[in-house]
Parts: sequence; structure tokens; C-alpha cells
Amino acid sequence: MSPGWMSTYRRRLAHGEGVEGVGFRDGLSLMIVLFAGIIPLASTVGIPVFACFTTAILLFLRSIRRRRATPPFLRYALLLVSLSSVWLVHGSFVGMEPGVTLFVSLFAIKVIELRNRREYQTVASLGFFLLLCNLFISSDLSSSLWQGVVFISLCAVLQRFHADAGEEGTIPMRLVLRRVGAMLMMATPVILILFFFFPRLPQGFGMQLFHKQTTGMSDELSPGSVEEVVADGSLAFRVRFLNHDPKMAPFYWRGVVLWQSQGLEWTRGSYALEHPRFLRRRGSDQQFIHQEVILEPHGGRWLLALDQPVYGPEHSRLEAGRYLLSRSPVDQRRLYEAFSVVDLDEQLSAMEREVALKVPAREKLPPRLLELVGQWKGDDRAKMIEAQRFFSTKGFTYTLESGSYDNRNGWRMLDEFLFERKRGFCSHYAAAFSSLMRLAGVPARAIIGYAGGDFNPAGGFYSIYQSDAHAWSEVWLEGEGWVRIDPTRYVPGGAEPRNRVEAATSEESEAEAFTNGQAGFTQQFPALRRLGYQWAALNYRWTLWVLGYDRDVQRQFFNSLGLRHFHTVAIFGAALLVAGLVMAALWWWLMRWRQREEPLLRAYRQLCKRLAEVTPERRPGETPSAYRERVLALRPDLRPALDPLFAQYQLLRYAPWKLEDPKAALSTFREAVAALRP
Amino acid sequence: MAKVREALRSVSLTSGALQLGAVVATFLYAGASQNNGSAYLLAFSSVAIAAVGGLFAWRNLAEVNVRIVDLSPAYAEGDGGETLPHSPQIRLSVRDLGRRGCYGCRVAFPELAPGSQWSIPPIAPSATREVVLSLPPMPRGLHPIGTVQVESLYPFGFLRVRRPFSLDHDGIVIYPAPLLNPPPFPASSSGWEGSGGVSARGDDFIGVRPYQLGESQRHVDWKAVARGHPMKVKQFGGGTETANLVDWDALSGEPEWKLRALCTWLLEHERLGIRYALKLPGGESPFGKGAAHLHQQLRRLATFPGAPFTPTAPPRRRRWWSKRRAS
Repeated sequence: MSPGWMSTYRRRLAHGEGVEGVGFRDGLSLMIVLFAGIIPLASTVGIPVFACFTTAILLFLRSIRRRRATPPFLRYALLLVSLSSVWLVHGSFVGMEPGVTLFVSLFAIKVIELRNRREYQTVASLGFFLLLCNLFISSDLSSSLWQGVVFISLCAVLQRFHADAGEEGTIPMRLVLRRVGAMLMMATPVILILFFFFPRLPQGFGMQLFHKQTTGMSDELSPGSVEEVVADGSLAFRVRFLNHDPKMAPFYWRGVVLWQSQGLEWTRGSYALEHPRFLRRRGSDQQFIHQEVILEPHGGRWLLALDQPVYGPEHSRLEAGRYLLSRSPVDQRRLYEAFSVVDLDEQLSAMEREVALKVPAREKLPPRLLELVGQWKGDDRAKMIEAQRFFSTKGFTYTLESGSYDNRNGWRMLDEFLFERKRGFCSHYAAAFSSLMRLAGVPARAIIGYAGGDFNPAGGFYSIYQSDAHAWSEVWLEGEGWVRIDPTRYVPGGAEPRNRVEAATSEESEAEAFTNGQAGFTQQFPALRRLGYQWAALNYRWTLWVLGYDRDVQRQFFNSLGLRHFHTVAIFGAALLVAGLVMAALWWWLMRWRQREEPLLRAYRQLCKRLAEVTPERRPGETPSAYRERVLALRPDLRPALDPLFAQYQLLRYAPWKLEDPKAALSTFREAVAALRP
Repeated sequence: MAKVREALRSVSLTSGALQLGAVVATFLYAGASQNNGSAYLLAFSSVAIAAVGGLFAWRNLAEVNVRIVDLSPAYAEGDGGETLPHSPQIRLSVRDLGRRGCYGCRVAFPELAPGSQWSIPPIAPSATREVVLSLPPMPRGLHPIGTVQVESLYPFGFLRVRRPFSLDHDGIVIYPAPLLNPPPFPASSSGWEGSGGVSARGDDFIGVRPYQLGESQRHVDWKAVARGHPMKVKQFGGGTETANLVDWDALSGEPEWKLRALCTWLLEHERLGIRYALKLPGGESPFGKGAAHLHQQLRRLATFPGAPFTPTAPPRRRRWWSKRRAS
């Protein structure tokens, strides 16, 4: 006894059941579009599921070509393989990436099961969901453009599918694309109205679907913590100076301030320090550097700003040590404004001084360390200079391959680093310098952030990459306040952070940048680099105007339109009305074409309309003679008026060559119709 | 207002529209919950494209006109084995008077052939396309065409636009099905030879008789026609030609079977080239032969009362929102 599905399959084989009403060309074009939609998801869903989807596409095309259903066991096998692949790749079915993968694997099965025209429509609709999945993964300009292409292609495929109604090969794709293009152009005003006026909801509504992995810098210093970040060339954030470019070199972007020292390891610590208040911003004051930041998601709560921030966005505050902390983790790209001041008068509270000097008891510290700092005499400034000299003269080298430390104790690590290994990079030197200053009795703390930036002349903004992650120290000097010390600069070979502004003009720095591998290949071709800048600038505007268009930006936009006193919903209602008017105008325009085309028909329609006032309406498809007879049967008195009119119409319509002047005859006919008063 | 109501009635949402609604709702939710501009953009692009698509959908059929060029009759389905046509054919002319052409049309006859649809290849702007539609086999009778419905899912399949046309036409004639084993033609009633008709073979001119539709025009008195007289056929005598009366009363049995037997006899006469007349309870036809004569007589059989086919509207598909129970 064979199972039920087997007999179903045999029956299908016997009847040669394939895909009804869907031609190979339609099937192929939909599959190409779906494949284009799945390509950007390949790295997210993993190779096995991607392969399953591709297999499903091929199996569908095979079934449509051979007019045979795909055997059910193949479908079940594919389902099994793809579902287990979800588990293999992600280890879970819950979450953003597993969810997308699960959707793609189930979608693959739906593709194989496509049997008729209705299912074709369904699969095409699911293709739109594919766009949404893409959007979860990335929504920058390039992927958005790709999605736009897929969107338009889906529309075109659907349109051609419905245009030939099963008779394949009658409509050239060129025509379909042209028409979709025309539709898109007509739809553009409505899209823009809806986009800019649809009321945006406050942030954090509903379930958070985006689940970006934490990337970039972390909020602690330890050997190796910055190491992997420096190798990461992805974007960290972009900044535009709104009032003036501070023209300083390099930029230090403050991330997190670390208060707790454990030798070579630093953490934020949990001290009840008073956090500074936002300074009232004064827009006209040139002292305040007004920045607009687009921060890529990093999973932490810190918000980057130029050293030192005094005013931040809503839902954020300044922490002790003067850095911006958001109320919620930065899981999505965030657009905000911040104000910074370069020279700030600050006071060191007793509590802060105590924390900034905190070191373990002397007995617990390696003796060599104490011996070293014991040699440094004089005031705090003198000690600081001694420490700088120590790093520049005692054979330290800058390297990204510093190796790991077996020792668990941070102070012993520090001892090993200072007196034996002498190899490290910014995090080692910042941690070591700050710890030594504390041992020497100078209040110190360590800062993690970014240094430098790549100026984009096309967009007027700076791009800061993960590879710009940096760590430095701050020491408190009486009379000077907190002074930034970047100990990495004193180490021979230490990569000095700098703003890559001049790279665009100076050949020397270009060559340098090339050897540093900063921009690589594009440095060789200035035209290509300029193109790169243009693209980045476009991307920036896309982020600013489309991705970052949230409630606050919308309100600003409304205010700039002078709609300050209107409720968002009221504004949207008015916008909807405008959109409706646009649609009505389009409707009129589309219908106007046909009326312009056939003035004779229009006149005849008018004639029928006039007659319909006194007699029944003309039936669809009723010939003029038949209609005339029907009218005359009811109203014989109209014969003298109607007979010549209908005769004239038929002459104009069917034998215009018999007329000497058809144009004049047409206008006579129209006048006669207009004059008719039945 | 009535026009708007009619326009709205002719447009209906498809399951594709529901799917689009789901897609847009998901885009909006994603946009709102993630504060993501591109999700909003996708949502609004879909909505706007669908709305513009709606305008195109309406305009696609706004200028369509349908006309029946020709109907070819068929025989009702019988015992099988005959080679006669069972599918009546409609030659339909679909015309687009507009400027942009007409795409993705499907034609349906909701009353005549419920549940069947025929797709029409795209029609160029201001062009006419003729299609021959084979309808499913039907029982004997005269089947009124009823409404011709042109519908289209163009451009995106979200909207179904329908335009009904009621055409003035008698309808499709379905002849009775011939019998595979007909009763023998009764020799006594009029005989295969000799009696019952006028012999028209031979060489001697014996007079004229009125011309009958479908007859060979070889013996028409063209000179008389040229003088404005009605068409007459010259008759010649001397030979022998048989002509039979195919008589309803010669058969006994139930009416439907009698009609089928008569149909078989008529076809047999036509095949043998023998002139014949058909006598039904309503009256008797003149003698004749040829395709037109056969059609006239078969049509009489088809429209013979007794078990006339009464077209019934198909049961409406129940919608999930419909509370009405099917009785």
C-alpha cells in the first residue's frame, strides 16, 4: 500500500500535471528576480539555505519545462535539509537572523509548490517580504538601490504576467519596463507625500526586530581589546560640523571614560560620582562646536562626540568623566546632535580626586613598578614629563601583535609589559601611562574613543571607521584641569592619529596613506577616489533624509514649513487630501488621452447621452442602426432629427473617404449633436 | 453618481490585494518599530504603485468593445463515437478604441458557460482582435448568450476589473445528438425512391420553382434574376430523383429519442445527397438539401419544445464573510 502522497504523485505523473497557466518565460523571470533578492541575504542565511533556495528555483524551472510536478520526496528532503541548516548555521530558530533564514527556507518550499497563476501571485508577494528581510540586514544606499531594482523588477514581472494573460511571448519586456517606469513616475508624488507626512511613532515602539551584533570598541581596556577593532574597516560613525569646523588635528572622539585601574586593565568602575549637567547651549557662541552625528549601531550605550561634549541629544546624559551615555542601547543607526567645547573650566571634586588616585595597597604591587615611579620627582607636570620620557626612551615599540598575557593580575601584567615585553599598541600605552600616573600620585583616568577621521569633500562630513578606535589618558594638573595625553605618540613608531583631510591634496600624505593601507587601491586612482567620496556623500544624505527621518526630524520639517501649531495627524490628513488630488489629476490625465483620440466617438457618446434622457440607454455593443430603431420605436417624432444625424455618423465612422471634407463634416455633426434637444 | 457606483461594482479586490495589504502592513510595522525610513519608503512605494496600478487597471478596459462575429452550432453529446463537433464555437471580435492597448483580457460567459474563461492576447491600441472560443459541450437547445464579461487583472493582479456586455444575439444552437444505431428509415412513409417529391434529374426543362437557401446555384434562372425577378431554379425532367419526408410521426418513443433519430436521418439524407423535408408537429418544411437547409431543419429539432435547456446561473461562491447559509 503506497502512501497517499505517492498515489497523488502517480496521478500527477499520469496526467502530466505541471504548472497551469504559467509559461516558462514568466516562471524564469520571476525566479531571476527572486534570486536577485536573495543574493544580499546569502551571508546571513548561510551557504546551505542559499543552496536550498537555488535548488528550489532550479527544480521549479525543471518542473515548468517538463510539465511535471516535482516529486514530493524531493520537496520534503529539501525542507528537511533547509530547516536543519537553519539550526546548523544559527543554533536557534529565534532572533533576527534565524528568523530571516527560516523564512527563506520555507519560501524555497513555496517556490517548488508553485502550480498555478494564483500561486504565482502569492510567490511574487512573498518576494516583497524578501525585500523586508534585506532591509533588516542592511539599509544603506547601495543595498537600498539594489532593493529598489528588485522591487521594480518584481512589479515588471507581475505586470507582464498579467498583461499576456497566459499567452506567452506577446509583450516585450522593454514595453513592460517602460510602463512600470511611467507608473513609478506617476506614483512618485504620492510616495513622497506619504513618506514625509505619515506620522512617525516615538522611538522604541513595539518589538525590536533588529538584532545587530555588538561591534566596534568596547567599554574596557585590556590587552587585545582594541586589537580586533583596529583590523575592522567598517564605518563607526559620521560627523558633520554644523556651525564651524574646529580645524584641529587630530580629532579625539570621546567614547567612554574609565575610572577603575587594574594595571594594564581598566574598567568604568562603579563609583557614585556626580555626573555633570548639560551646559545650556548658546548657538551663536563659536566656542560651542555643533555636530551632527550618525552613529552606526554598536550594542553599547555610549554616544560618540568630539572631546569634550557638553550637550547631548534627548534621552541621553553626561556621565562622570564627561561622556555621553544613551538611555537605551544603540541597536539601530542613530542620528543625533551634540555640542562640544575644547577648553573647559572644570573642578575636581574630592570624591573624583579620590577615585582618580585609587590604586591597590603598596604591598600588593610589583616592587619594580614602585621603584620606577619612585624615581620621578617634582610636581605633577614634571612627573608626567618623566613618564613620557620613559615611554619614548626605554625601547618600547608599537605593534598590533602584542601577544596575550598569562598573568591574571592586571598589575603584574603591567609589570611584565613595562619591563619585559615592551610591545603593544594604544590600549597598552594608555592603560600603562594612566596607571603609572596614579602610582606617582597624579590623578589619572583612561579614555576609549576614536581618533582622526576621513574628510569627505563631496559631502562635507567626516567618516570615522572602526579602525580609528583609540585609547588615551587624561591627567589632572592643577591650574590646567584635565589634560589629554596620548602616550602612544611618545612611542617610537606609534601610529599617530590624524585627520585624513590633507590626504586629498597632498601627494606625500597620499603615498603615506597608501603605504599605511588606509585607503588602499583607490589612492592610486584619484578619479575613482573622488567617485568614492561622491558615493559616500550620497549615502550620507540617504541616511540623513530617508533612514533617519524620525519623529524629531519630521517635527523639524513641519516647523520649517510653518506648521508649528498643527497636530501631526491633522497635517497628515491634509497631505492625504493632496495625495488624493494628485491621484484624481492623474486619473483625469489618463482618461483625457482617450477623449482626445476620438472626437467623433465623444460626439456620438454625447448624442447617446442626450437620447438616453428620453429613451432607454444604448446597450453596450448596440449598433447605431439598432439603437436608432429602438429610439424611433418609442419616439417616432424624432425621426426627422435623428435620421440625418445617424446617417452622418455612420458615414463619418465607416466611410469617411466618401466625404469631401471630413473635418468640416465632423464639426457639423458635433454642432448638430450639441443643438439636439429631444 | 450612478456611474461611480457602477464603476465601483465592476472593480473587486483579489487575493493578491490581501497579500499586498499584508506586505504593506508588515513594512509599516517594521518601519514604525525600528524607526526605519527605508521600510516606510517601501511601504509607501507599494501603496502608491498599487494605487496608480488601479488607475491603469480601470483604463485598460475602459475602451474595450466586444462583438460576436459568428457562432457555429454544435451537436449535443451523445453515445460517443461520432465525429461530429460537440463544442460550439464563438468567433468574437474584441476591439480597443483607446490609445494604449488592452492587456491581459479574459472573456467569460457567466450564463452560457459558467466557470470557463478564455484569455485574449493583448490588443494593440485602436486595433481589433478576433478570437475563436470553443465552448464546452452543451445539451440540446437554443442557448442564449447572455452577458459577455471581459475582465482583467492587469497590471499587478491586485484588482479585478470587469466589464459586462449584453449582446443582441439569438444564442447558440445545439442540435440533438445523432443516434449511433438509428432505427431504419421507414420505406413506407415516403420511400427512399420515387414518391413524395418532385424529380429534378434529366434533361427536359419542365418549369421553375423558387430557389431554396443552400441549393446549388447551377440551375438558377439568372436571366430572370437580372430582370429583377426573385431567384428561381429551372427544373428538368426525364430522370429520377428521390425526395423524402422525414416524419416525426413515423417514429414512436419518447420525444428526445425521436428528435435524435430524426437528426440521424437528416444527416444521412444529407450525406447521400437526397432531398428531404422535415415534418414536425408544428409544421412541415419545404424539400431541399445542402448545408443551409440542413441547418434550418436541425435548428428546428434543436428548438423543439419538450426538454428545452434552461440556463441556470451557477451557485455563487460563498464568501467567508457571508452569513447566508446555502439552502
